Amino acid sequence: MIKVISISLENEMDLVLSHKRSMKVAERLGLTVATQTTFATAVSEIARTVIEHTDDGILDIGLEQSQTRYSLMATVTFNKDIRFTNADAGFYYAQKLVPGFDLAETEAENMITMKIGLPRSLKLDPLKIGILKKDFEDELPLNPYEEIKLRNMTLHRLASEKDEALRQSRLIDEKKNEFISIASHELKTPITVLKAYTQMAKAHKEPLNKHLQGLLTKIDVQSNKLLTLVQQLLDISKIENGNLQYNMKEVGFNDFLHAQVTIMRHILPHHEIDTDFCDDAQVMIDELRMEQVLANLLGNAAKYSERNTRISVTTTLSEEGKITICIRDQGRGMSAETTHSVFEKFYRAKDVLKSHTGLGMGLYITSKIINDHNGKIWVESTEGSGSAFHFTLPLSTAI
Amino acid sequence: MNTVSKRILIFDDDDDIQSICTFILEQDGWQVSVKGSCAGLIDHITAFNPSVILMDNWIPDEGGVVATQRIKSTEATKCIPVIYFSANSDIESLAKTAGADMFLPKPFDLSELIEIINKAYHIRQSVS
Repeated sequence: MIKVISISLENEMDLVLSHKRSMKVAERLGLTVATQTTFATAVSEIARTVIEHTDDGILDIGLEQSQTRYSLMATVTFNKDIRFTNADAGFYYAQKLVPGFDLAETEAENMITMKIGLPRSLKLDPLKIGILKKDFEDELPLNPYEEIKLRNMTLHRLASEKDEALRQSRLIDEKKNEFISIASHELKTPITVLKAYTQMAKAHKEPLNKHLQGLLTKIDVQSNKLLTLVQQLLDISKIENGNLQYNMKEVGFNDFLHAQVTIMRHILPHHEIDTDFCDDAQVMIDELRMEQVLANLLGNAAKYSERNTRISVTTTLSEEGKITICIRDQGRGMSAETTHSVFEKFYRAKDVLKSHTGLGMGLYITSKIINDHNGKIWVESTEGSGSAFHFTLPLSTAI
Repeated sequence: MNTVSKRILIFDDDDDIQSICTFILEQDGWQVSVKGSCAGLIDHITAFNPSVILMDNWIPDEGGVVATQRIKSTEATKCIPVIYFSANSDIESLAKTAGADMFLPKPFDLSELIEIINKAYHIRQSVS
């Protein structure tokens, strides 16, 4: 069938609509008023019978071509559990009205088909039918009920489209995180192998010359960098899935910080790291995660400043029971725009995109870790003269 | 049972990990046997009679968790220490679920590898 109109049969108001629309289609085809009425009556009788039983019937009106002739056709589909017999007055009456009447009962649904053959004199062709279809699509609502019905349909469609879009984006997000998690795991295996072979080579019994030792050390350093990146990717996917977990312990902060700075002095031999600590205080932290924070902030301080410049680590106790840690460098500093966005995931300042490698993951993870410790992190920076990253940690109640 | 010789059975399907572990541990005086899957798991263990087992998380067919659980629920093998090793970041909980005695996250330092295996070996010695 070449469908021209479709109406869902929900209540009595749809009967009026079915009748009017059937009339209109028949009229537009150029049928006589008598034929228009006959067709419309048959359609609305069936529609009424269906509405009496269910509210999910569908009426379709259109044309069917058999060889060179066309028929005006209406179908009403409804739930397969509803059976009509000639005891249903409307069903019985409609059969008498139209020349072609058929009730098909299938697995999925029942369908009543009504047909009236159209005279050749109407000279229908695909072009004319196309115009007819288009006209009915553009037709304004017949009455306020149809208008509401159409709006309701549009809203339903929009709502389900939105739901679908949301579902899709969630799915994509899940897939992405799953991918990152699997990829990081897969990447770790070759790194394991690489690191092991390097260590084996370094531990070789025959003495290696200095140059070769140096090269092997470089390979080891780079594998460690690669490992950090993989770890960061994994952390990000964990943050997004909401399962970054912490193993909180109470520690004396000064000892912890001293140990970290000592390690970082080895890793960053080209910078001077000064410390100025306040009185010792107890904090509840995940030591491994806090190590990650300090390695990130000190690493950045060194990365974005010249060799042989100073990096200072200072701490202060505040009256509200917090300790503030400040890491200050004498590096290139940041623009106001960068200062604003530097903690965002995958953010990288335009001016360092070419000069400094990185993926923009470190500070995002750091800020997440600090937040999860109920602390705050912020940055003050002046372009050309350096940056100062501050973060706070609440003191544990033990003191 | 011969408790004197240091015998280790390694379950890992990665060729390089197999050869690295074999090389390092043989240097440390171990008799090493490697398996790329856990087919015939219990038979291999009883035949080789290892003093320590190293089990990868991602081992065909059944995976390290199930394999370790089987080792730990079989009378003849349950006393052999199992070291769980994996690149999975949830290794600690995996090892716990599996019922492994220790765990070693990948990547590891070679010295860590030797250290943990010897630790497991000494536990085994003191038990038997």
